[in-house]
Amino acid sequence: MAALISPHLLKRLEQLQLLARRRSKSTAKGERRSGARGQSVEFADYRNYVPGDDLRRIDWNIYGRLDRLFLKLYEEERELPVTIFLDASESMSFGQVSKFDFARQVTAAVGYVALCGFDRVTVEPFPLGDDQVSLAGELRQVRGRKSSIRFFENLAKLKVAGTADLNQALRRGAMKHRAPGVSVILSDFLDPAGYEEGIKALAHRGSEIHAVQILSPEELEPSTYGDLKVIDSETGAEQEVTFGKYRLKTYRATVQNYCLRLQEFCRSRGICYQLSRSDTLIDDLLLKAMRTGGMWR
Amino acid sequence: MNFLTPEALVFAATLPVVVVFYLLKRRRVARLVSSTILWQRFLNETQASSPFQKLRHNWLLVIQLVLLALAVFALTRPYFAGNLEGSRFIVAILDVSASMQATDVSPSRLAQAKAEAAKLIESMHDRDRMVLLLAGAVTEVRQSPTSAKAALRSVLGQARATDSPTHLLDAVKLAQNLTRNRARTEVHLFSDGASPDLEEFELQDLNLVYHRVGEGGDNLGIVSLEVRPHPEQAGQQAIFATVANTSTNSLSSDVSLFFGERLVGNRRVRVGATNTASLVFIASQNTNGVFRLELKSSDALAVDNTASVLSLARRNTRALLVTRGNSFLERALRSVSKLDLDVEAKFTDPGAAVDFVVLDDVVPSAWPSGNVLAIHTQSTNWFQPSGSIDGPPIVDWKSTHPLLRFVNFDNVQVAKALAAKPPAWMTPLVESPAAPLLAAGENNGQRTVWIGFNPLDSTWPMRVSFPIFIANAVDWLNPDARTSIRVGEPFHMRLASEEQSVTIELPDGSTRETRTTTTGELIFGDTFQQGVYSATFGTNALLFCVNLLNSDESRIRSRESLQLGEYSTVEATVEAKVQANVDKEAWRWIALICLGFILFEWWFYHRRTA
Repeated sequence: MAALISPHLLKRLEQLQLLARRRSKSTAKGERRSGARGQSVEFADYRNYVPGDDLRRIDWNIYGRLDRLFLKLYEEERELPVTIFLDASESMSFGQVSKFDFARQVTAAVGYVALCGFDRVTVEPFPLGDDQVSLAGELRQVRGRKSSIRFFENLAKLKVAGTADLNQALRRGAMKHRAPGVSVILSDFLDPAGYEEGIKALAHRGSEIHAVQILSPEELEPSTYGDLKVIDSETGAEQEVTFGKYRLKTYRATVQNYCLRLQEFCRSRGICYQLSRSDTLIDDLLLKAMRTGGMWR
Repeated sequence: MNFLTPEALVFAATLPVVVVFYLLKRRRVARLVSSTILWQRFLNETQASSPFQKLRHNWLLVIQLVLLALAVFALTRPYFAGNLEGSRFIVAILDVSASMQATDVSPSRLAQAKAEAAKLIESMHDRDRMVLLLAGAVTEVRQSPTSAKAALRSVLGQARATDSPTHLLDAVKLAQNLTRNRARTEVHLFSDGASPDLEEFELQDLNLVYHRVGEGGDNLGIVSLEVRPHPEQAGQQAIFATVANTSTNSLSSDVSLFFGERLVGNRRVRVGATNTASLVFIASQNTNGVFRLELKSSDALAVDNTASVLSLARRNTRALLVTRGNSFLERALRSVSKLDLDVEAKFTDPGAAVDFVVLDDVVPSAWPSGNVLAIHTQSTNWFQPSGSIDGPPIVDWKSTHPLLRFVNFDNVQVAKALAAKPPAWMTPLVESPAAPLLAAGENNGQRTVWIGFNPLDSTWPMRVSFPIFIANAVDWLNPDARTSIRVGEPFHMRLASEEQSVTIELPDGSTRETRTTTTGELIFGDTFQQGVYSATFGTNALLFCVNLLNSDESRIRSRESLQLGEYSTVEATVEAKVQANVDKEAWRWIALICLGFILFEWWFYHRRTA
């Protein structure tokens, strides 16, 4: 646990609460307001008595005044499903501070805040290697603060492997988690097949989505110059390029354009977007940027 | 525009080679990255914004193709025809005589002359050619005709002033020969004009430009120095010197005389404007040595403030008289002071034991190897008398010759003389209508005085001119070694009877190795420094002095014009430029652009990959 998040930061995280703009539609009991009527202290409405209703819920004061039987209805409190899509592809292993390590820290933090708020946390690492399937099972439907230690241990065991298909992973996640909740996507979004279809599918389910794009400093500002043959770590695709300091400005603009397009895509669908360098202080991202971005308060 | 070598266009075939090189796969550094998606987008965006997308990878190729095309273009040697300056043949004469060491202009006249000559070199055009002559005691062609300014500048920079007087005549004559039958020639003379021999030169059509160097200033100089035995005091030497003041101000200076390093005399001399002062020092001398006279004057020319002269201790002359009996002759010889005379009836060659031999009407079995006074006899190698002449009248004699100084033949009658024609190396001194009666000359270093009649067959022994002639003959046949010469003159002296090597140390300490001639005569021409020279041969050593002693060099007032011949005068002028039609080649400029492209390509390549 200590390897992922410091105890000091955990204490700060305990004071946070995940924000959800929509009422929970989960079927399980929890501490989030929902549209369903049930038993709680929050009054919701009246309705006419029909035979068979629980007599204990009749509002006798109204019966005294109107001489008619009405039932008092209360809001049902349900849990909030929080799904974290964690990019564990080969490309996430790059960077002086590995992008995957950084993403795991963010996953741990979001998960811990959710567990502290009695929400249900599911981590969906993708792609999933054969040796990671059981581990992924351990990371599904985690509830309660007491589960956090186990949650962190399982997170620490995750490894990067293979080629990511972001669209497929998000689509599958949308189908799997029918109850809409909060979805957090932690990825570099550097997928040749794109990210649009997956995010659309997820948004279609009514999830409240937070996208955190994590890029390494080397990707933002390369320091290798000359006549290069760059090889994609996931696909093995090669690209010949002649790069010098004078083209750095153009490259920066390219990266900025790429990120802006993603940001614009997210904004148009009401998705919160965060760009973070993998060497950013985790405290700054969690307590400042994500708080400002509406992730929690 | 035209091309001198259009066939160089075949080199354009190398252009495709460069393209082929570019088609070959370039070796790249493999680099594993997280994803190539950003790089692909980066390349797409940069290529999309490039105005020449087809050339997007090949700016280096374009530069190199342009570079190669320019090089081929330069190889074709394009040129433009038009009115341009140039195509001159220039002879630059740089005066390197002693007077050019004068410091009346800063830093020296020579430096000023070199600066002027450098300007001339810089003004040369591509096809101009220049010859550089250095004119000192001898004229030296320091640079043959060339258009290479760097070579000319280098040679000019190496020019040094000598201590020698100027002989511009030789240089100007050489320039005239060099420019003969050439069009558009110029002769530029960088000099102070201190060369009186130019008056012997007829200018004719020589395009001579005189660049006057120097202005003039105060100068005291030693113009003569001589040492002689004191006529009255034995063991004493009299040193005669003349100091000249060539300026228009009266000047004074301390004059010091040294014998070796010992100061033997010092006095103050004051010389009026453009005047001379004579000085006589008396000094005792027991050994051979060098008298050095120094002027303690800080004038504009330092080289004429010092002069040296070698003085040898006097010894008696040794002579051998071979005669069957001639009391007049013997008495005349014995009357000569400091002469040791041996008299023999039969000749045997004494070699170097005597200074000269007198053969009085005897025919030796072998002719003497030294100097000879031959009376009524001659070597068969010279001539054979064709008979005798009775009573030849004396019609003429050369009283200017040292042998006949103070000798008068007015009242001399000869009864009988040989009818002979002396060889060309002999100068007839006393002549009769039919044949010379007395002749003298030098052949292979051997001096000979020949008298074609027996004095006893004439009235000459009875005349006062006879002992005077004998005394003159003794002096002439036993000349003092000429141990003091002027700068630039060759030094020659008979050292031995056979060839041997000689080492000569110059005043600046450097040494020269040379050899004597087969007859043992030393001839040394590298005498361009003033001072004392030391020659070492075998176990012997010899000193000789080289002095400037030239009033023309000491007269440092720079001439504003040069008198050439009787009628021509060349005024000091500035450089004239000649307009001419020439073809000016452009390949240098193209090569320069090529160089610029190479530098740009280098910068561009490193900018791409740095």
